[in-house]
This record gives sequence, structure tokens and C-alpha cells, in this order.
Amino acid sequence: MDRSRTALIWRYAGRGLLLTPLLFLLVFFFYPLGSILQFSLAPDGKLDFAAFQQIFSRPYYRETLWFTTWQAALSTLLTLGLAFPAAHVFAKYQFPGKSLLLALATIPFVLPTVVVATAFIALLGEDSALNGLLMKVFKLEEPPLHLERSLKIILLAHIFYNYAVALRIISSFWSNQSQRIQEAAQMLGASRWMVFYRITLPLLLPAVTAAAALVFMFCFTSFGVVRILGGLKYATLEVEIHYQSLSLFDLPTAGALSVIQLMTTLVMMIVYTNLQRQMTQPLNLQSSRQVARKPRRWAEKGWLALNLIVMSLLIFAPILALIERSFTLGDGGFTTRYYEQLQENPHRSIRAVAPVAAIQNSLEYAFFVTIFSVLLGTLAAYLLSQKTRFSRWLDPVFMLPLAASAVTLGFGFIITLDEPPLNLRSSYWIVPIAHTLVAMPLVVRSVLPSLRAIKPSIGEAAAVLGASRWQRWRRIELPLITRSIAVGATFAFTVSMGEFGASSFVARPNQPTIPIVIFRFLGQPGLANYGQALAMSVILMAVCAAGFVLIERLNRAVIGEF
Amino acid sequence: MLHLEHILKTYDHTPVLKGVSLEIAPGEIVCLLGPSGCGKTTLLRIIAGLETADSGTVMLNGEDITHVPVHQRDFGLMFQDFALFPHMNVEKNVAFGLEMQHKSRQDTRKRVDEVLGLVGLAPFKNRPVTELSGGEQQRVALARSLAPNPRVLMLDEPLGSLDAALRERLSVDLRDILKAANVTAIYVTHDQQEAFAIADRIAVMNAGQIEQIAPPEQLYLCPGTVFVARFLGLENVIPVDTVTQTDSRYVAHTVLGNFLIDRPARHILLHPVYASLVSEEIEGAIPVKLVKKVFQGSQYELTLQHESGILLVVLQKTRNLSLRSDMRLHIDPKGIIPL
Repeated sequence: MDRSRTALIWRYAGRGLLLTPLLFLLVFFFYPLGSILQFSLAPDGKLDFAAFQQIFSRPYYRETLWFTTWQAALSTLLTLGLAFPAAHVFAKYQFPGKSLLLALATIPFVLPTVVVATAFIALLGEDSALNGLLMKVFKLEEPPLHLERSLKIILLAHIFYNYAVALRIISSFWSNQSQRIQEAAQMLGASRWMVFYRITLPLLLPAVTAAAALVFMFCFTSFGVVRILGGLKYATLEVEIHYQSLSLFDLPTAGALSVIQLMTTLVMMIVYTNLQRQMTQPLNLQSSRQVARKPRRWAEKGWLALNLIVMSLLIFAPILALIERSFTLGDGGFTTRYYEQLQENPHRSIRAVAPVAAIQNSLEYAFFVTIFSVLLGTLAAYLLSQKTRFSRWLDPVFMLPLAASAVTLGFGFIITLDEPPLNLRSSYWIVPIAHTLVAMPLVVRSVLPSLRAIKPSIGEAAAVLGASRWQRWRRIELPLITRSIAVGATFAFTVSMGEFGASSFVARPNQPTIPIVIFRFLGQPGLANYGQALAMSVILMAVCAAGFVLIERLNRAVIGEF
Repeated sequence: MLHLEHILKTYDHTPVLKGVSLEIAPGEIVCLLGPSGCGKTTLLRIIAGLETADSGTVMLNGEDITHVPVHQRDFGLMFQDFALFPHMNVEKNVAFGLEMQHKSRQDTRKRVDEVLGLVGLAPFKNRPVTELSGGEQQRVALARSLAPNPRVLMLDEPLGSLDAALRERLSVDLRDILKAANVTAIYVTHDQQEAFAIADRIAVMNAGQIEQIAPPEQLYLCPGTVFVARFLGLENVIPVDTVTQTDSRYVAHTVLGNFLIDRPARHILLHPVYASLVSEEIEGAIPVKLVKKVFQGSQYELTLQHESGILLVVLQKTRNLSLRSDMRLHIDPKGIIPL
């Protein structure tokens, strides 16, 4: 009797604990989101579509909306166009350095937007080494490349960012496609082209569409890249929301824009998660090792080489240009002065902190974000792994913070968390909380698959052998999910280090993060500022790359999930 | 009809096929039987054109087809995992090969109905293949490979992924269907019962070579090599110490005694089918003791031990046998097979 009551109490306590991530979402995600809705639909308490009417009637907003959509569509098309052939190469051929290359190709995905933007300025901007080289070779007076503030550089940055995402999704699905199915079609008289058109392509379609939906979503909500590379000429919805809310204080318009942005990403998210579920239906899947083989004929070798060259250029050129510029900017040849300047307190700046302090801020924030998101994310994964209708319904809910862009999150924060009892506006904790919202879904996505992969019979076996619930968790479950938790933790840390969109709303001016400092440097004239932005970007890139290497080593499979 | 000559294949310096030759008559069902890794699947894939042999030729009706690409051979292949197209329903799967032949829609529909009827799946026409059971998927795969009237149908362990009971029933059905379709077939399996049930002739393969090719009965009653005997579960293989010649025959001297054989050999097989336990003294009977008795339903499997320690296995229908030490085993001269 007594024992069963204790058991009951424990069970309810456990349930309560599992609900904390939901509570967190409710307070810090849905409440701000609700306020945005209210601002956009009923700014004065009454239902009022004025903000929406204004957006759809004024050419300025229509253009922004149109630009956001078509640049995302074009970026998606270009990304898939490049990634699809590469996915073929990675799925079908075995070649030396393959897994290393695939790992390196994924680095851009974890790079902060400000770093990517800075890297592309370093590669294609006026002061780039490429321009220097072209001027020398063709004996030009003026630098021939003027890609700053152009659409081309935005598209390139988007491709750089999303290439590996598309490559990973498509090639991992492709490499699991059973060779037998294609052989069966060949046996039935289908030529190579017919096999591709009738069998391979239709079977790849879910993966291709899923990749397209994801890439479109990322490009549609692009903020840092467009804000830095687009200048005043190009603005996506995100940039416009930021501008409307922080510069013009037009909250209803910003709210309405947020709602439109949210709806679009939500649709993409639903498309993506549905397709992803389809893709995991195992059908004649076979180990990818059986499928990949060495390229044999010259045509195959040439095709492989071509793809690898395109891939290397796309991925390594900006990264190398960034590193190179940070050490050689100016006329003096190799220099470390921009790194040294990071430690100096720039007296002409009102915000009198040495840039290096931002590194400490970012590290501190990232530390707390890692702890918060691992705790909440793991609990959420447990909640979602239960086989009830409630948790199946909750699954997309926990993905929502990923769909809502960082800018919307930040905007929501500043309009809601400014009065008691949630007066966090000037609190230290507002940044870690905002970052946790972005990072937690990544932890959930990392932990959930391995939690679901634990067969119930394992726990039952342990129970029959006399293990209590706690012992089963501690001795059986935890060791089985430790790796994925570590992967999630590293993700959280990396994301927090590079987060720009939300931070640009909520970070306190005297406690900036690394990306914010980089952005400030880029906005100020002079080589010294630009050089420091480069140096800071290299440091941030190193941190993220290190985090990425750790993730790769811990678990190669998890990244394939995104 | 199909003629293989000296097929050689090497993977990463390991020889997989060491010069295989084989002749198959029209309408014949030949089984390639052997343990995994013996090269039987590779041989099948070379015949299909999915792999290329390092040397050797594949001839069909006197025509060299060694270098004809897969999709132009008009062969059929049924895969072990069936390899059904998951994005098509039953009808579309079966129709695929006919579409590749540019058959008219009417002919295609007619032929699809015909083969689906043959495998007993007519009512399943519009089902997605993902919703079928293992046995049903197997039938769809068979129908799909039969539909375009392949010149040769190959089956790669088509029952391998099914459970034992289903396998037994389907292997008999499969022979009936193949015979009804009057198709020349090559059937790969590692299961001798399956091979016995389906084949007109069985080619036993070992380490990249064909050890023996014969009709099932002949293969079982008169295996040609130690490997074939052991692979068919015939364990009573006794090493021969010396062989002496008397007139036109030979005498094999073994620890179990002397046995008359018609050719010199290094081993002899005492075939359990020709073995019987006797009580009285018969010349040549082997003194043994019964050490194990396993009930198998219609018969008992008896393990007998000779004083030299050698174990012999025989099958007996007699029910009232107890574990005794003074028994004698008599082998009919037909059951003494030189290996």
C-alpha cells in the first residue's frame, strides 16, 4: 500500500518534471508570439487589419515581400542545382578523403551568419586578395570586383550556407537507396537514363523536396547575411522587421511582418517534417557501404573530380579568404595587429570595452545556454518519446522555435519581457534565455532519435534482472543517450556563440556578444575596424569549427537529421 | 540454350569464380546450390549482366552475349529482397518491364492480369507494394520478372527472407509456376530442401567451382565429392587408408573394415539410406554401439559409435530400440560410395 503510494508520487513528480520544457516554451516563446499577434492584429485592443492592409497595399512592403520570396527561391534552386550532382557523387562513389570532405563541407552550416558575411566580403569585396590578384594579372587601375551590396554575393553566401545541408539530406537518402531496385529495373529492360527517370528520381523526391523546403526556409528568414551583405539596397522581411521595430518603432507593422514570416516558415516546416517522416520509412534500405564503389571509367572519374572542385571552391575559398585577409589586410604584408587591437580599449568608442571582452561574454552566455538547453532539451525529448497522442502532437510544437526566426524571437522578447513579473529587458539572463529557445530544438532533435531507438525490451530485461526505475535510467538509458546529449550540447554551445538575430534585439549594449561586435566593426569606416572584424570572425569561426569537429567525432549520424 | 564457358572473376585479388562452365537446356530449372561465399550469386549476376566476368563467355542460343548490357538481354532476375519499386503499386510494378518493351497499353494490361493470375495475386492489383506481406511481395516480384517473358529467368534466393513454413510451401508452388510458364530458370539457394523441391538439375558450388551437377535424386544418392556429401548432410565419410586392386574392382581398407568399391578413392561414404541395423552376424557388418537417438517424427536419427571412436549416423523407422552396445550395422553395397 505504502510502496504503491510512493511510486505514484514519484510518477507524478516525473510527469511534472517532463512538463518544464513546455512551460519554458509557453512563457518565453508562445507568450511573446501572442503579443506579436496582438500588436499586428489588434494594436488598440480591437481587431484591426490596418497593418496587413498597409503591407499589401504599399509598393515598398510588397517589394520587400517579393524580394524575400524570390531570392529565397533562387537561392534554393541554385543550392540544389549544385548539391544534387554532388549528392550523386557522394552516394555512389568511394574515394579517398570522402568522409573528411563531407565533414568539412558541413562546417559552413555551423558558422555564424556574421562570419559568413564577413568571409564573403573578404573573398569578393573591394579589398579582397582576389581583386588584388586580378589587378596585378590584368594590370588594372581599379579593383574589377564590386560585389559588396549586390544580389550575387547574397546568393553566393546562401549557397555556401545551405549547400552541405542539401548535400547531406539528399546523399544520405540516396546512398541508402537499394542498388537492387535499380538493378531490378535494368533487368526489366530499362536503360540507365530510364532507371534514373522512372526509379531513382521519384524515390529521391521526398529527400529533394525536404531539402528544398529547409533551404527555402533558411533563405527566407535570412537576416545576418542580408543585413551585412545587402546594405540598404536589399532587405528581407527579417531585416525589415528589425528596422521597423528598432529604428521606426512601428510595432504593428513589425508584428504583421513577423506574422507573415512565421506563416511561411511554418508551412515549410510542416512540409519538411512530413517528408522527413516519409523518408524514415525503411524500404529496401541497405547499408551505404554496399552501394558506394570506386569510380571506374574516365567519365566517372571526371564527373567526380568536377564535383569535388566545385565543392572545394565553394566551401574553402571564403574560409581561406577570411583567414588570409585577417593576417594581410593593409599594405604591410603579414601582420597580427588586428588580433592585437582586439585587446585594446578603443577610446573613441562610447561603449568603452575592449573587443576581447565580447569573447568572454559570448563564452559565458554559451556556457549557460548549453546547460539550460541540455536540461530542457533532454526532458523534452523524454516527453516526446512517449507513445501517446499528446506527445505526437507536441513534436512539431518543439520545432516551432526553429521555424520562428531569431529576429521574431528577439522582437517578441522586447515587447513582452519589459514589465513585472517578467521584467528581463535589462537582465543578464535575457540573452541566455533567447539563445536557449534557438538551441533547445537542436538538443531535442539530437537526443530524440537515440531515445526512440532504445528498444523497450532492453529496459524490461533490466527490470526482470532486478533494476529499479532509477537504476534502469542510470545504468541502461543514460549510457545509451550520453553521446547524443553531448552532440546536442555542442550544438547548443556553437549556436549560442554565433547567434546574431535575437541578440541584436536583446543584448545589452555594454555586454555585446562576438557577432554583435563584428557587426559594429563592419559598420564603421576604416581598415582598422574592418581588420578587427576579420580577426574576430576568424576567432569565432575557430570556436565553431572546433565545436563542429567535436560533434562529428561524437556522432556522424545526428547531423544527417537536419 | 544458355552456355557458360570458363567464367573467371576476381574481387580485390581474391578469386571468386575459378573457371565455371555450365550448359542449360531450354525449359530447364537449374539450381546453383552452395554455402554463402561460394560464388553462386556472383555467377548469377554475371549471367544477368550486372557484373562482368574477367574472362570467359556467356552464350545464348549460340550467340555471344558476354558484352550485351543488362537492359538489352531480355533476362529476368528475382532478387532476394524482391527489390520492388516502393513508389508503385502491384500493377505498376508488374507492368514496368512491359512498358520498357514499349508494349501497347492493352497488351500490357492483359499480360499483367495473366501473370498476376498465375501467381494468384489478381485481387491485389491496386495495392501499394509496401502493404503486402512477405509472401505476397515474393509473388509480386515473381510476377514482375515473369511478365516480359524473359529468355532466362534467374532467381537469387527468392525464398531466403521468408520463414521456414512459408518457404516449404512456396518452393513447391514456385516449381509449378515456373513449369506452367515454361521458362528456362536458374535458381540460386543455399538450402538443399529448396533445391530438391524446385530443380531439374542441381549444380553444387564450392569455392568458385562447380563440384557436381546432377538431378536431385542422383545427387543425393550418389554424391561425387566429400564436399557435396557433407553439404547434403551425409556425415558418414570415412577416410581410406590404402586401396588394393582385385580383378576389376578395388578394396578400400579403413578402420571400419574393408569395402569393395569400383574406383580408387581417398574417402568412402556409407550412405545412411542403404544402412540397416542387424542382429545376427552378417559378413562385413560393422560392430557399433548406439549412443544417441533423436526422434524426428516419421523416423529416428541414430548416432552409432565404432570402437575406433568414429561416429556414424543412420536413419531408422524401428521404434523399439534402446541404447545398447552390441549392435551391428550393415551397409548395402550400393551405399558404399567412393569419394
